[in-house]
Amino acid sequence: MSLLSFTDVNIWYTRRGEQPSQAVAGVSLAVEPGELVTIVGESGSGKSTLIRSAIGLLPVNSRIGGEIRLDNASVAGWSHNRFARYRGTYVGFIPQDPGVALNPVKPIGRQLEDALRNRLRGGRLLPFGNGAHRQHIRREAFRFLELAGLPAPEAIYAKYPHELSGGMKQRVLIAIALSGEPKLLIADEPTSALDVTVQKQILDHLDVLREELGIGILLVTHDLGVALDRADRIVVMRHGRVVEEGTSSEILHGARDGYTRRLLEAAPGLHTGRLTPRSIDLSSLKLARVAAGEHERGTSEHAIEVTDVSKTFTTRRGGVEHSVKAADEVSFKVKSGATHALVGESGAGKSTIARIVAGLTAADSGEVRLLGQAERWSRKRLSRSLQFVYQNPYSSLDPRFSVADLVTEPIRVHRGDIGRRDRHEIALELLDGVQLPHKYAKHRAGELSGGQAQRVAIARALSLNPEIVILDEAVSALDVSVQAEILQLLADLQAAYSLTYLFITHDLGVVKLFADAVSVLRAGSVVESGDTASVLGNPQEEYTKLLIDSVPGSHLTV
Amino acid sequence: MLTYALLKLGRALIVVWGAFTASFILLYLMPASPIELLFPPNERASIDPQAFKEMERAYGFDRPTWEQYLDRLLAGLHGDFGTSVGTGKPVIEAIGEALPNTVILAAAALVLASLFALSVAWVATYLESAWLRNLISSVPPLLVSFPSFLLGLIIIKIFSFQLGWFPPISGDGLRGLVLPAAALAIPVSGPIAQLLLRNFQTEYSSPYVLTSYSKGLRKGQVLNTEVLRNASLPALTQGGIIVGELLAGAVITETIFSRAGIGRLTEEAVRAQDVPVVQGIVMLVAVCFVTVNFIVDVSYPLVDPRLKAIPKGVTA
Repeated sequence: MSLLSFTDVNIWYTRRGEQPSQAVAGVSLAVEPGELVTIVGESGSGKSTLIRSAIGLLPVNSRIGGEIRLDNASVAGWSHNRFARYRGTYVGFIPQDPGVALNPVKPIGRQLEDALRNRLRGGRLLPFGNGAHRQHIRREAFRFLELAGLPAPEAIYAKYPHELSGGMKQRVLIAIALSGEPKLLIADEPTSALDVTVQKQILDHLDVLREELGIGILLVTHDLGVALDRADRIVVMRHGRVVEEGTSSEILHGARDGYTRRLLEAAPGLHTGRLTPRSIDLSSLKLARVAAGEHERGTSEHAIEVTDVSKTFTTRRGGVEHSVKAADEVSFKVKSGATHALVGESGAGKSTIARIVAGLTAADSGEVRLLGQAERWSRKRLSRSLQFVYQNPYSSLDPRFSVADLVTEPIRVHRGDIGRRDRHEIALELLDGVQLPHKYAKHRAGELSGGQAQRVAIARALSLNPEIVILDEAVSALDVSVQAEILQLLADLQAAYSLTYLFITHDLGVVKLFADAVSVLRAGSVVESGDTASVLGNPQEEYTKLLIDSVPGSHLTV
Repeated sequence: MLTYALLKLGRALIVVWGAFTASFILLYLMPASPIELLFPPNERASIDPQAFKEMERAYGFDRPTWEQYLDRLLAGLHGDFGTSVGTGKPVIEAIGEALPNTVILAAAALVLASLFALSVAWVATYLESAWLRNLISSVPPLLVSFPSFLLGLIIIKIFSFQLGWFPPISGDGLRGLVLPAAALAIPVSGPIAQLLLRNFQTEYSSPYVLTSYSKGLRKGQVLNTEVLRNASLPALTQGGIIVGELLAGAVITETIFSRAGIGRLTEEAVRAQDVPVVQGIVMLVAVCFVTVNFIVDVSYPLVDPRLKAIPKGVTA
């Protein structure tokens, strides 16, 4: 008997005054004991909606058709209170973003005990707790924190969520999900917000739990590499439908569906070669004027030279000073027109170094030379030669501005001599450059998809015709196929505008595709540096090897 | 943390001092001498100048303005705001007599208002039926827009004169407290309920609620153990405003129900232009305001653990 089965499930979201929108269409799927099934798909494919329906956590405006069976009970459309006795004890749920999935004002131990108390209440006569029972619950809490791979449960017990790292929070959530000793675990992108090495540990741990406890796991991910590495069975979803289903090797070697093949092509972990730029037609007359009017483009060999840069952050908490070395004698050089990647896990100091290069943070010591010039540049001068593209396009674009205004805002600030009509023409040229149709010029940032918004952010960065663009995790928040398009676009633009990229990322797969040289950072210092092929192909340091090894799908060959 | 508390305390003291100075300027430097106001208007022309001077000296109104100011500030620091021009009682004594009544009334009203606001927010979030939820959510705006003097009169009319359940004139004891406390609580609870309602809804849609449900908690448990605390924390910051509303409401409520208290004292002092009493009350209100805000500011990091770690800005 299956732990969970979907039979011809349809799910709609209703909104007043609008046609219901269908998020899941005719999906049938089953999970057996001890089996790991992954659902792969991009954002909007309905994968999260589908699995949430199995634990009754859909928003109130959803309508379910078809049959969802848990433990042989048809659970579609149950209320929260009716569902309560299945949740935790029969089906455990690991939510998406560990950063927000824990109650911020409650200590970890109590959040775990809420779950335990619910299960251990049975068989007791008194409704209130006594000492022995409390002790029992606390021991159980320690046991599950340990089971989830947290080595010192006593220390974590009294901590608040904001005092833990993302990986630890995810483990706490796993402990909560396991605490009811469920037969089935449903995990919604459990590792997407985590560093690759942590992701590997957590997925390994889930594997161990599956083997030891024999539970079934339904894992949702957008990362085909993760699915191919781990799953017994892969289900590929798109637009609410299952487009392909099979074992890892069936999907890897014999994908029948065009969309699956495209996903395979887009997965950066499965690639080896570097992207080759395609030429783009730039009749950028106006844009050239922006550049010509002001400063000459640098001709030095190295666009960025960072020498022995150090930066220490100190914070005071409870009268005790903590200091964190965000950069420790960091040095690297970036050739003009090349892409240099800074790779490392969160807390490695990548962003601090980028901010020092961009002049947003002052270094404690060391020197940053841009375009061969040693003197410190003014804010204004800096922003003409150096621009930023951030991770989240929605939060870095003002939602009240039209796309045309967003793209030309730097020109409006820096070049009073360029009139409104010229600015509009430049905006259209820039949209051509980032391959967005002109009709989007009038749209607002909130109306764009993630990939479109990131194109706008890139166009804005290019509007002053800078030499250097810092890409701070610029493609990390995008779906794989969109990510591939944006990377290609960046490569094209680099060739067309002769740009130098400082590319900050945690994703080694992307580095392979995109960067000429790479510096691997750990805890503020450079572990290894060199050209991409030699660092990734023949790593000298243990840490680099560990990072490469953790990239999902890196062992597979197409 | 200590520096933070001291900083807040310093600011609080400056606010109190500012209130004293402003009230001094507004009240004592009025063109009309407070002494004249002791006499009925038709007798003012015939006051014996000699007696007038003596009275001025007795009250200290004859000296230079800055000297009066410093004197009164120094006295005010000791809690001495002079004597009431109307009754001859020391101001501090008059306030001291009226204060307990008002504190009881305000406390009862605050408890009622908070309970009511919490239940509205809780029930509106708990209910699954959309139209019932909307119906309950529409109660707080109705209360906000209802003038409290009208409400007081309606309450008296129904519960005292028609049903005869409670006395129309609020005496001592619990029975006399019920009507004025309710009349004061209803307008105060409106804004609190609106705030809580919104907070409950935002918190209920946060991701950690999904986590709690996945533990197997029932909806009521989720609301009580997870949502309640997160949703009511922001209401704490409204503490100062609520105290202000309670005191302002007390003036009307105590007048309508003929109940002794700060509200009545204020009303009488303003009507009689009893300047020292008015200033004493202004200072009392300022101190209440500042104390409540100080307590809220200092205790907030204790109830919300996240605030102990204050993040840095975007640019250094």
